[in-house]
Amino acid sequence: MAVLLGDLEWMDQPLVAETSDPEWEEEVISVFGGVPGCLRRTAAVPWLRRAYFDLSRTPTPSLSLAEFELAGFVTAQENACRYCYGVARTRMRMLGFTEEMVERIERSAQLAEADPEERELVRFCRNLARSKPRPSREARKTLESVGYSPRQTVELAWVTAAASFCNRVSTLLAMPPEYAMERDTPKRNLWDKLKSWLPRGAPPVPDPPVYPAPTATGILGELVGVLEGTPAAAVLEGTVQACFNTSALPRRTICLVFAVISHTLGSSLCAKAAAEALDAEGFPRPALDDVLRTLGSRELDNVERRLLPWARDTVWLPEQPKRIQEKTLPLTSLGDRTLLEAVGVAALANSCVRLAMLLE
Amino acid sequence: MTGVLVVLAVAGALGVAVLGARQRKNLREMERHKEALGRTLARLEHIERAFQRFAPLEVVEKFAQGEAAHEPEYRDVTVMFADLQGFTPLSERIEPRVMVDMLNGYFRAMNRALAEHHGHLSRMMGDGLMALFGAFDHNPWQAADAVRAALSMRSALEEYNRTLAERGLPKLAFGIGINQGRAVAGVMGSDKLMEFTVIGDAVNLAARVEGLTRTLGVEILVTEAVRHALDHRFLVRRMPATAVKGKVEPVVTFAVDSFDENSTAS
Repeated sequence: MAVLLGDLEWMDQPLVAETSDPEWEEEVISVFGGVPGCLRRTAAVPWLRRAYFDLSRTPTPSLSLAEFELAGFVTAQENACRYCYGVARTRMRMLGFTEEMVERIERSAQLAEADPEERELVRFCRNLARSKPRPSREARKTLESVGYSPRQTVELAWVTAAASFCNRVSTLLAMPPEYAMERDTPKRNLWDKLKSWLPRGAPPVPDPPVYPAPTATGILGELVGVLEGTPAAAVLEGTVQACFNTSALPRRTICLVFAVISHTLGSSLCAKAAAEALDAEGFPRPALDDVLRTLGSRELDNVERRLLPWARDTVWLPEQPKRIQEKTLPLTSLGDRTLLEAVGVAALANSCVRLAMLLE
Repeated sequence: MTGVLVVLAVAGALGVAVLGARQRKNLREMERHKEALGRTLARLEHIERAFQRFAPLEVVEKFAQGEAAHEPEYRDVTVMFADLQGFTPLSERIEPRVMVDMLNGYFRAMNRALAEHHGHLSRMMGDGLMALFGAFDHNPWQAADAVRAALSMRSALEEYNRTLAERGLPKLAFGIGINQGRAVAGVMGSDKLMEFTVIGDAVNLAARVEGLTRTLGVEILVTEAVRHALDHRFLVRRMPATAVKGKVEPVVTFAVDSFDENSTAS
């Protein structure tokens, strides 16, 4: 069960510095109207900052804005990400959810009182984010039994996986919360309450990210395929390719992180993809077997030896985020760039493995 | 006529005032109930969180939502037994208050080492404990985690013994036995006392192996199943096969000496 915002223990010091990149900031401002801290602190790694930016604004046409925000909100709370939870909570309030409604959602004890659609949406997203164990086919059927279409189920899984990516990046880097934004949470006076009865237009939606049409080939192509017909397919394919092809980390290190995270969560689809990619890199199969059996191998280099046991700890984030931040702290000795790359790869692997529940 | 209107106006004003007062009272009452509900929910959540130390999250949530009891199931688990050696005669020589204090400090130190390596303290039995790895969450590295936890517990005990010595108290010594295997995991007990635990041959063997630490004169002893999950970074010694109660064949065990993160030994 998830912890409430005020009870989360969060490291005071972020683990990486901000990077100034005027061109990047201009692009972000053109979409969001400002540059959130998360996009400044990830700016040194092009694929990572792009992934954070795009995954958080991928359109989900089959879901209402409220469903989209709700899924992101409960995922952030379940992942105990102080940064994203604070932002998501503020967005819910901006969207018109009252404080009472928000509290009812974040307190699992009150979930039984919610209507079936809301209750099952919250359960599905929480269980998928938590993945202890990953939700089964049965969970998808339950969601569909209360009226969600298969497309909506796929998009809910996508929102949870995408939010989980941002949650992990923000948590592992101890991103300073957006206190200024949180302070601006609307206080509803009588006029606001009356105004909420009047018809109004939908709030502005950020421009969607632009990617080439997905091919569902290449590493994790099957996963892209399951998103076919949704804007998320192209974003996922573009993000995975950018991670594997442009990361400063060696490709085999990325594959090893994917392999460890897939193995921890028991995803045969992602584990197979990682193993095949490692074969292509010439990493010996017996060495991979060693890694999956013991988290160690003589074939590993010094960075991999440090990253793999840590990657395994990113799968189930502890109730108090400070614990995983303290485990990440020693990796700062690898330098900002390597730490950012490692955090991004671990976060993406975690999201892909969660998404793979749609096929497993 | 004017008099009637005045009376009606006064009566109306009074009526409005009375209704307003009643409304305010109802609102205050509702506010109080809401606050009480909020406090109750917070307490319920606190209890649910506390129970996560005793059972997997899904089990706690099922109980909290009043759903049927968790279905028992087979799980691959690693079971550790740790027992203080020579503590019973020792406890007869020291004051009960000091003895309890010594034990509490010991359990605190052991629990920290267990939690650091993904273990759960499942049960305390006098001066002994049972810990589980992989029973609460799927854990492919449970055996190595258990052995690293045992090594951390050994360091923690050394540290704890130093603080005991500073207080003029005797040193503690323990034996740890670890086995991995399939066990039935579930909520067991009576309606008065229940716990989430594991039962089966794998559990019994872990307890027997812990008993062997006295016979073989070692601190940390693991079975062949656990040894199989360890790599070159663990320094282990094969011990002579020894007969244990409940097993037809003598059991092969390995003493664990150390773990070296950077070992390249073959």
